[in-house]
Parts: sequence; C-alpha cells; structure tokens
Amino acid sequence: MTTAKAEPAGREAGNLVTVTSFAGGFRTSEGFKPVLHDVSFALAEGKMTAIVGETGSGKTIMALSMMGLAPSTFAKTGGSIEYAGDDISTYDDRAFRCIRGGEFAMVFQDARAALNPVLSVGKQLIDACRAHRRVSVAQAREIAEEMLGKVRVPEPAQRMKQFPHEFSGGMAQRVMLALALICQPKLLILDEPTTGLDVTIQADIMELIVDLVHSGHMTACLITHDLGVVAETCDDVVVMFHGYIKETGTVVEVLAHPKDNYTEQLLRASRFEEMPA
Amino acid sequence: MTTSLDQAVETIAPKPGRLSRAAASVPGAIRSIRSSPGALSAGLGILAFMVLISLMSVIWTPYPPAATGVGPVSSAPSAAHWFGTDSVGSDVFSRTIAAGRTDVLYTVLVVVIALVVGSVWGALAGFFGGWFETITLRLLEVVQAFPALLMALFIITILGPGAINVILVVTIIPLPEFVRLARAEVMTKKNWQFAEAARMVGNRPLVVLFKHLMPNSWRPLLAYASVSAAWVCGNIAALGFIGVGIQPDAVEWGSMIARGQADVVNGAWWESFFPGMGVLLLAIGCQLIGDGIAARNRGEQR
Amino acid sequence: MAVEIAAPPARGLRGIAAPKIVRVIGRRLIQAILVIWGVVTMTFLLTRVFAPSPVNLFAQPTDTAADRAEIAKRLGLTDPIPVQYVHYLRDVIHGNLGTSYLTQRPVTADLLNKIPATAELAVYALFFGVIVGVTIGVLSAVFEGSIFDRVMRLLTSAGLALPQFWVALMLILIFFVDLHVLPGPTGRLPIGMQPPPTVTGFYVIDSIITGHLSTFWPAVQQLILPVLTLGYGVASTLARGARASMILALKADYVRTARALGLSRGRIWFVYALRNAMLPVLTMFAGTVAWALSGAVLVEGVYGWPGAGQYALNALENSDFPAVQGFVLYAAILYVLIYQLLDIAYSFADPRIRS
Repeated sequence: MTTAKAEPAGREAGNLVTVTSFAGGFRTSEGFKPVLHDVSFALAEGKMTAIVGETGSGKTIMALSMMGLAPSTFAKTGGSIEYAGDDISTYDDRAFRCIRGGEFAMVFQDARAALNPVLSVGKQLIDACRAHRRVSVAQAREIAEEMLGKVRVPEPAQRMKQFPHEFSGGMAQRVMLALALICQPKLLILDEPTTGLDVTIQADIMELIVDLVHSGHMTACLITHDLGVVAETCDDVVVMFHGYIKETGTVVEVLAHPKDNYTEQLLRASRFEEMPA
Repeated sequence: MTTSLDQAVETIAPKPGRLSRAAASVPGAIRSIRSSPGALSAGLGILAFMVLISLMSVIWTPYPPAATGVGPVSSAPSAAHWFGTDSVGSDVFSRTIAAGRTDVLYTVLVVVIALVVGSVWGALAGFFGGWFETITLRLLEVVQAFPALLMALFIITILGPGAINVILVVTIIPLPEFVRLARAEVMTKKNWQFAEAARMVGNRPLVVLFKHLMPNSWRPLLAYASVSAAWVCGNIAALGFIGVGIQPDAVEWGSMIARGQADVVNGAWWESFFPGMGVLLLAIGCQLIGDGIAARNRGEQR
Repeated sequence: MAVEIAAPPARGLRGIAAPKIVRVIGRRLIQAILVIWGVVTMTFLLTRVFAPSPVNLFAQPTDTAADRAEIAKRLGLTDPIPVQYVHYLRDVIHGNLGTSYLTQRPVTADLLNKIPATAELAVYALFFGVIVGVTIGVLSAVFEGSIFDRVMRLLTSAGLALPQFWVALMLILIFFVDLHVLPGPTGRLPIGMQPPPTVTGFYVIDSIITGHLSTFWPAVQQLILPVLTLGYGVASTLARGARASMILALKADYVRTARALGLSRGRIWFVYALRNAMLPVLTMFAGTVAWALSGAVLVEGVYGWPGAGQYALNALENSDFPAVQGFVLYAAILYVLIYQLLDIAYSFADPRIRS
C-alpha cells in the first residue's frame, strides 16, 4: 500500500505528459460523432494517475490516442498531447513506432485475447525485448524469464514455452505486464487491467502493478471505473464523463472534497465513505 | 420494476391475431431493405432486371427461341440479330433472354426449397437432438463427402432427365449447409431466456421451435441462401453444358454454351459469350445480395 | 495470495495414453474410414436400389424372359440386397469398381490409366491457385480499400460467378483463335507427338527426368490454358478467404498489442497477423480440392484433356453406369482423405487444438 502525497497535480515541471484541450470524434456513416471535448490533464512524472469514468466516458479512446492506437475512424479535432517537448498527437504511425514500447507501453483489458494465440509466450516476450534492446536471442530469453519471475509467474522457464490459451486470466494479465515492462517504458498505461478477473486475483494484480511501477520509477496511468482501487493505489485522479473532464486533482483532495456533482455521484454510487489511509 | 423475464413472457405468451402482427412487420422489412447499403440494392436491382427481362421474353422475343434457321448459320452480331446466330441458325439474343427464364426460375426454386427444407430439418435436429440428430449429422457428413457437382451428375444419371429431377438434384448440393446452419442456430438459442420463457408459459415444443426460435434465426440462413444461389446457378448451367438432365437443345444458358462450343475454334465467340454473361450477371447479382445481407447482419450485431 | 489451479492432464480416446500425435491421427483415420464406408454404402444404395435395372442395356429386344434372367444372374442382380451389398463392399475393398459397359474393361484399370493426366492438371492448378490466391488475398487485406483491393475483389467475384467451361472457351478464343499465342484444345500434347516414357505420368516432369526434352515445352504450352482455367476458380476462392481472414487478423486484439509494444510492421504482418490468418485458409483449401475434382470434369471436356474427368464425361453421355459410379467413388474417397489430412495439418498448426 502506498501513501498518497498531498501535492497539487498538474504542476508544469515534473509532468511527463500534458494533454491540453484535446478533442476528437468518430467518422460514422451518420456523420461525425464527437467523443472527446476539451480534455486537459497531466500525468505527473513518477506518479500513478487514474482516469476514472463509466463506459462511454472516452477514457479508453483518450489512452489509445496517447499511444497512436486509436482506430482509423477516429480523428482529432483539436488540442495537443505534449511529451518530451513534442506534440505527439500530430505524429504519424512511423513516428509513434519510435515511442511505442520503449517509452510508452500499454496493458490491455482482456489479456488472453490480447496475446498472439499461435506463438508461445516466451517467443512473444523475446520479440518485445529484442525490439527495444540490442540483445541476442539467448540473452533475451534470460531477460524474459527474469521478467516472468518479476511478475510472479511460477515456474517461468516452463511457462515460457506455453501458449496463451494455457494461462488463466490472472496469469495472462501478468504476462501482459511482463510484455509491457520488458520494453523498459517510461509511461505505463493500464486499461482496466483487472476487469473480468476474480476479486482476489484483482487485488493481487493491483498490488503487483503498484510494486513494479514504484520500483521501476515509472509513470503510470490507470484507466478504471473502480474508485476503490483508485483510492488505494493512485496519486492523482482525473474524472471523465461523456468525453468531458469533470474534475482533476490528487486522490486525497478529489475523493475527500469532490468539487463536481458527477464526482459526488460516483463516490456515492461506489459507496465510498472513507478516505484512504 | 419488471424483470427481463416478465418482459420476455409478455412478448411470447400466445396471443390472437398472429397473422396480422406478422403482416404488420412486412412494411418495416421493406423499409429497411430500401435504406440498406449499395451492395444489397445493386444485387436486388440486377435480380429484378433479370426477372423482368425473363418475364418480358414470355410475351415477346425478336425471334422464336427454339426455332432453327431464322437467320444465316453462325453469323456475327448485326442489326437483324443483336447477339448473332448460332450453328443451327437460331437467334442468340432471343434464346439468351428466354433461357433466363429457365435459369432464374430453377435457381430461385432450388434455393427456396433448400432453404425451407434445410431449415426445418436442421431446426428439428437441433431442437430434439437424440438419434434423429445423430443420424442427420452422419448423413450430412456422407453427402458432403461427395464433390458437389459430381454428386449431382451421379444422381441425375440414376434418375434420368426432367425439370423436377434437375431441381431435386441441384437442391441436394446446398441442402446440408442449411441443415447445419439451422441446427447451430437452434442449438445456440434454445437455452436462451426467451426460449425458456416460451416453454415455461406452456407452449408446445414445436410451437416454441417454429414461432419463437426460428424467426430469430433467419439471418445467417438468408445470408447463406444468397451466397449459395451463385453456386446453384453455376451448377445448373454446368448440367446444361454437359447435357445430362437438361437436354442438349434446351433453351438454357449452359446448353447454349455447349452448342456454341464447336464454333469457338472458328472464332464465333458470340454463341457462347452471351449466355455466359447471363450466368455471370445472375451469379454476381446473388453475390451482391449476399454481401449486402452479410454487411447488414454485421451492422446489426454491433 | 490466490492460488491458480492447473488443469488435470488430458486423457484421450478411451483413456489410451498414447502420445498426442498418434491419438490425433488415429482418430482422424477412423473418422475417414467411417465416412468412406458411408460413401460406399450410399453409392450402393443409390445404384442398386434406385437406379434402373442395367439388364435392359445388355438384353436384346428378342430375348425371352429366361434370357433376361440369365443376364440378371450374370450381373449378380438376383441375389438378395444384403448379399449384393457384401459383395459390393468386398469388391471395393479389393479395388474392383466394376466393369465399364462401354469399354468392357475394369473401371479401376481405366481410371488408373487416366488419373495421371488429371493429376498433372489439378496439381499445377492448385499450386497456381494457392500461390496467386493467397498472395492476392493477403495484399488486398493489407491495402484494404485501395484500388488494387477493389479490382481484385471484382476479379475474384467474377472468378466465382463465371462457369469454368465458359472461361475455358473464352481463353481458347482469345489466346488460340485470335492471338495465336497458345495451342488449341488438342489435349496434353500437339497432335501426333509421342509422350515421354512414363515415370510419374506427369509429362512435364517425365520429359525432364528421361531427357526427352523435345516434349517439355509443348507439354507446358498445352498445360497453360487448362491450368489457368482451373486455377482461376481456386485462386478466387482462396483470395476471398485469405482476404477476409487477414482483415480479421489485422483487427485482432493481439495485433493491437504487437503495435503497442512497438514491433516492426513486417513482423506484425508476417508473424502475428499472417500466421493466424492462414489457419482458416488451410480449411478452405480442402474445399478447393473438391472444386478442382468437379471442375476437372468440365475443363477436361473443353480442352480435350484425356484425364479422369473426360472419362467421366464420356461415361455420363453414354449412360456407362459403372464408370460413372467408379469415378464418383474415387473422387469422394480422394476428397475425404485429403480433407482429413488437412484437418490433421490444422491440428498441428493451431496450438490451441494441439494441447
């Protein structure tokens, strides 16, 4: 368990990624449907920021836009995503390829579907590793095994040779984490990493994530609808609703003294009565 | 607060006036077809065009389709004979549009029969299971082990020529797939809530099957019907070409292509070309309809 | 910490703990035999039970009833049906497919004679179809929506809609009659040319192996149009299947993961998307084999190709019943075997089924 520091979020210095007035929508057969309106927030370096909202709030598409993985029907209509002095929302696919994996990594929701079914888990880890580090296959294999160990997969050497369908949901999610971390990213985006898993496993995975993020000094962005998890693990929080930002701030502030109506409703709905310790 | 089960019961409890309710849904269906994507409209347009031309040919053709010697033998397309004449002096244009009658009619008949028989059979097999289902599956496996056209040729050799035999034999080819699809649909849905509700309310099993399960399963069946129509018309033409089942001089596209075969070496392309275009048009029309339906199914599932 | 329980080790067919490979192949083999048995039985039922009596084909109008009875006995038609069935099964197992009414020779011998011609045509056509079809399909998927994609979709639609015999005729028209670039439908070799000594039965291969190189080029030339005709249909089917399959693979979650991890485009296409996309195409391939077997009948007829297809065509036109039956049986059995083989290959290719 981590203690959340009572620092204001969004300080200019120390932000890894700054999103400013980002807006966009989908081109559909019935015209243009905007899904993000004037979204502004920042991911403070070294901290874990949560993006909270219900289904349809736009949180996933925002995260995908940060990675350049938004579907081709999505188009940005304004704003910027600033990283390392550049507006990456203007990047084309080739430019994004330079930052994907090595600097930004993403962990997806349904881990078993997100892994290639015809390649062994080990091969996929080795692929990811060698895409970002100059190592031989043998060295990559060692690193991969080590990483599986770090994400607490038992018997990593044996598991490397297995295929994704042989893993349970929780184990597969650990593999996904390993895949993301093996690239040594600066930012780790996690899109609902525990949805669909058993409650006890959820807690394990979240604990693992927090542990890895802090020990690796990474910046993390957790997308979730579960305020309980946010309270226990995150430093800052961003509340989204129908593509609008409702509130941003540190977890302590927002959950104890919500300024927005919607945030209050969310808190009440999750029957959240206590502040995190 | 009504639960979903209550709502389900409400919609499927036996009510009077089923027919009038069914009739009311037809305008809705027509409306949705008109607003569907380009492929579907294009396909239906082509099919409508062919049906119209075929019907027109019943009333009028430039020359009698079956008549020989109405023009010079094997003459190229001209003002008098738009598609030219063939090796016995028949007018190719008249024969082509008249042949449309045969091919379109047979294709539609085959697809409709295969669809109806196959769906009912498959639904029964999926719903009741047991030895009926097992025997059905084994039978399908054996029938589908024969390459399609060869099976048709084999059986028509046994049965002999004739319109009914041709239709019967060509129907056997797509039939197994309809049975499988219908069975799969029924098996997936028979444990869903609305089916359970229907049974619970006291409907007899067959009523549950045909009034509740089947109407919800028609989409993939319709999609396959249009896809298979393209194969069916090709097979009918093949039978005509070989001259088995459909008599060699029949006014049918395949037979026409066969009649023009000998003259191809002499450069008389028109005799076989135009009937082939007929088959192409019909098959592509069906394919487009199939694509359109598949696209709509995908859209609706989202 | 939650404990995740491993699944118990799988046991196979009736608990026989043979290695997985043997069990998979064994199961497929049994299934193949059962289906073939079903095919043979169905053929028997159709011919003996539903077909008109062949006595009429052998009898003279002046024969008496006693003569007819004699003929019937000779043909084995007077035995009760179950006995006939057993005899039939025994015959088929020994490779005896009856005697042709037309040639008075054993159908099996006739077929074996003709099969190499069809095999050469079919093998090249399937090769062509697979390579061209899959390539076009994959490229169409990668460049979805481009002009290339649209043109290819048009061509493949036509490939499925056009009757193969029509395509054959049109090709002959264009390349032989009009352009004079390729030879006419005179069969496997130009009229008068002697085939090379038989090693495999494939003229192209035999001419090289035995050194009779003078027959090599003519044989190839005679093959071009028929292979194109059959191959067009095969390629169209596979192209559409490969395209659909590849598009799905490219949209899959695991491809998104691969992109998110920053893997190179080449790796994503070939290792991630393509390997998954090819699995359904493998199954489709079985269907194209059936298509080729049927199509051979039509195509060989147009090109005067002296293969099993033309044999069947002849038999059909002359009501040579045993020959038709023999051909259909051979085709069905071949199809079943190939289908099962491809299924086995699929089991090995897809790790989800392997374990």
